[in-house]
Amino acid sequence: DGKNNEDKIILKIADSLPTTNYLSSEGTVFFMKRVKELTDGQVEFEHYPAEQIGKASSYLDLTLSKTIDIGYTSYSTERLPLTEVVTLPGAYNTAQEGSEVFWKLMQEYLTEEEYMKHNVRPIFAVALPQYQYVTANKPIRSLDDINGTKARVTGTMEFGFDLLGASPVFMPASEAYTALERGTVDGVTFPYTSFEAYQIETITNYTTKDANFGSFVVVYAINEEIYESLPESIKKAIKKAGDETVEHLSKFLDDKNEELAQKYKTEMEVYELTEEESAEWDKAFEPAWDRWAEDLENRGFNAYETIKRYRDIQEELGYAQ
Amino acid sequence: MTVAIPLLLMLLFLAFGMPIAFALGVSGSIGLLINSGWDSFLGIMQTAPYDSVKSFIMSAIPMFILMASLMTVSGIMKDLFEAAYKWLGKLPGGLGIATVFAGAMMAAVSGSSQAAAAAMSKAATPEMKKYNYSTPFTMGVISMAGTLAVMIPPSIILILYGILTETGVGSLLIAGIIPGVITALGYIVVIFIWVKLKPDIAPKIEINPTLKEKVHALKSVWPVLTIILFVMGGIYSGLITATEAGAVGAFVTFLIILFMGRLNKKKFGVALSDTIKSTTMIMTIIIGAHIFSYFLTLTQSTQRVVGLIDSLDVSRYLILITIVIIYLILGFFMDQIAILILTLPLTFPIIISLGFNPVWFGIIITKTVEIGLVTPPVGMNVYVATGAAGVKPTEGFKGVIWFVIADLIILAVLISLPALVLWLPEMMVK
Amino acid sequence: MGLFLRWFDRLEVLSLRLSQVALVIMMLLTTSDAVSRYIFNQSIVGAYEITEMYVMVALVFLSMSFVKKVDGHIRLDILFEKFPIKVQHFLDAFYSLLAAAMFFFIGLRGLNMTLEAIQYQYVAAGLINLPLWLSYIWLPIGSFLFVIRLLISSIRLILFRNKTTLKGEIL
Ligand code: NA
Ligand code: NA
Repeated sequence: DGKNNEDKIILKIADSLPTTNYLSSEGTVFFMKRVKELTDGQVEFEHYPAEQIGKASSYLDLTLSKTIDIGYTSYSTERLPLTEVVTLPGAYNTAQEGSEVFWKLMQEYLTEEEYMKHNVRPIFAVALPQYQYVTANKPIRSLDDINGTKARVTGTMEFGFDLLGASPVFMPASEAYTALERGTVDGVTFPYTSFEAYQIETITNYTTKDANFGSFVVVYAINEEIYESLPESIKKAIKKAGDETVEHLSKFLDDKNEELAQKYKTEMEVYELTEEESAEWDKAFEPAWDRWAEDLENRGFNAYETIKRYRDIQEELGYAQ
Repeated sequence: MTVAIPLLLMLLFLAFGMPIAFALGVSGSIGLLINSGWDSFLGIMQTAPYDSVKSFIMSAIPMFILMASLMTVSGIMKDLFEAAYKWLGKLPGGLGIATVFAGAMMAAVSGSSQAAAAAMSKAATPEMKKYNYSTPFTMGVISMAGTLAVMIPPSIILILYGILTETGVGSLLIAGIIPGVITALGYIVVIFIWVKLKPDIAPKIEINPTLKEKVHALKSVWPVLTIILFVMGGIYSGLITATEAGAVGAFVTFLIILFMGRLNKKKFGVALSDTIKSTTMIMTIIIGAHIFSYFLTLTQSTQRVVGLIDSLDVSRYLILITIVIIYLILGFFMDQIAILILTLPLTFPIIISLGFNPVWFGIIITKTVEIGLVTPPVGMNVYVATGAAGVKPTEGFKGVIWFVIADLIILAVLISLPALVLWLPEMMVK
Repeated sequence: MGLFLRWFDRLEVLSLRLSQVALVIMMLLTTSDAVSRYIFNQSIVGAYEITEMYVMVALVFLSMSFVKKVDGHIRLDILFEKFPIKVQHFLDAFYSLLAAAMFFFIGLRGLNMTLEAIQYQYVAAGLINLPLWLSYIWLPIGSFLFVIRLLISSIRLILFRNKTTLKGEIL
């Protein structure tokens, strides 16, 4: 489509992440930079970070109404629930693994099955490093230790903690510090990469490492009509930049996770699970998958098919379970 | 032009007495229609109102207002001020000083300045009226006492700043203590000087209560102290979070006044309706402010202004002071939470790149928020305080002038002496 | 017209009552959650989400109309009160119409969201699934009541030129 090549195309991209967050600087900003480079500056972005034009849960709607072109759709799980499959406890060991498996699942299945039904197309998706259970006064060294604790959790982690006899508590991340300090909760599930932002490491004494309690997945999606209106060359650039972002950000997060783990070892007791232990804990979480799937099936979503495909891709890519 | 028209329209609407929520919402909507089109307008109409209201943290607003309303309808707040009057009444502007003390106490349990201002207003206005304090003075003191809640922890503004910039919330809250106390002392100094110069505004109290009477008056203070201790104790012992504290405080108040036989169905109904009136008024303005902010953001006007500052090749203090002045100016017109949401993603990176401390900047910004809460035309605390008292906002704005000057001096002190802010949080980290 | 107004008043009072109930539920639910966590070491499942999704939204939207009725949406009155009464009424009617237009669209979008959530059975998933339509529905109900109240008030001001707000009414 040579005709359009001369015109500059401006895409509006919005999310709830502060620009200081790695997910923004190494994800969103990286993506925009790559698209710009790949299109020789034909595509430019207007970036609206940090909830500048809406709360976290509103980006799907803002994308649909074309207020923005690309939105951070991770918090629209009521309409995009199958996406949560990768956040279930025990879904993967590293962000790279989870992201690679999930991005393939997205392209082969979920884009059609879930996103196109809502007229949006995912452009990149990254699964974060597994959340760890970090506690103030009670060391967590076995599944039994989790029983009876009060844990601040998010998303599908609720299922896993309920299963183990803990009491999942919901609160804004900003209240986690005070809640830990005062003992309102015994611990919080956080990825290492978010400790510093909320000063979690300054008031906790124990954390797990390499446990797969569940996680979160970052998804950016573009309005399908906007996407279809773009020249082929730009679609290609977006696709390429998306793939690169998945790889870059997930690797960055894993490295950062390892680096921070080494740092926290000097500041608190880090209970590092052996491979066997980690697998054993994953096994204990399996009923949570059924609970998640059964509920979605009842509401007409193909959850079992999604799980099957997720596990198949995982095996196909050589990640043994 | 496309930015100027809605902006001008908003100012005209406000000046010509359109309810603030509508002025912000309607001019923001028109701005969205002109700049981004019909679809975007409908998109924002769908997301902004719902998202503004669907918030657990915001539930602290109705709960703290309910707590205050219950304290008021039952008359126990009145008792507190009777006691304060007996003890502090002989001082110049005694009830004003009592209000600042009570405001600081409220601040230690409340994260929302509007809730604190409403509580103060309901409780203190009738008493200050009774002793012939001038209305602007009364409204000024109450509006200012309410602002203490944003600096003295817990504080919704500090928490929001922490979230938006990923600065440690714990450090921010601790850092607010000293500036909060300095501010309260500053207000007391203003009251002393003002009353010294113009004794009419706060007539000296003639009666001389005996020590016995004074001690007796203290007895009627126990319900208020119990509630405050319960709420503070609840937070500091870990029983409840800062957001939950409002609900627990309201419930404890409910139980105490029920037990004292000071609550009936009618009073309860009044407390509920009063709470709803204030809450919905505030939340409707927040909805309007969000709509207006989203229009401004989509035109990229704020981003451009900040970008311009960043490109200047001058002393970093000049840039800092320029940013502070912009915050003060924005504070005249806009909702404080909306200002932070809109500008922090842009100003914060500048401040960090200039090598300033993020916690300290958070406190500086919070100080400008405190000031913005009482400056016209949009001075939320003055609206809430005068609204709750059934007085014209103009009276309130007249009453805050000297306090705002004191606030500006304190702001200058905090800017020139960062150690004042950073000493406590640095002690904490060791 | 009179009959319509009477019925509308009743509807508005009913809406306010529900808003008051929401306020009481908020107090009791949040307190019980904290107490339950302390005594039984167990949070009340769904308390946080119910407060946020249902109670807050209902509390605010169901009372907007009432707050307008008692003239509770504050304004800057420095200039306004210096105008002749006729001008004040004219301006007020004009403002109410503009606000009605805005809240009409808010209500309309809310209605769309509600219907979509019912049709596709959207839920906020968790240990218990909370239906989303029950969270959205307060937007159309509250907004449309508010729109009608705003229209009534501006029609009165234009046709009858009497400002019929009920300041300080106890309900
Ligand atoms: Na406070
Ligand atoms: Na102001």
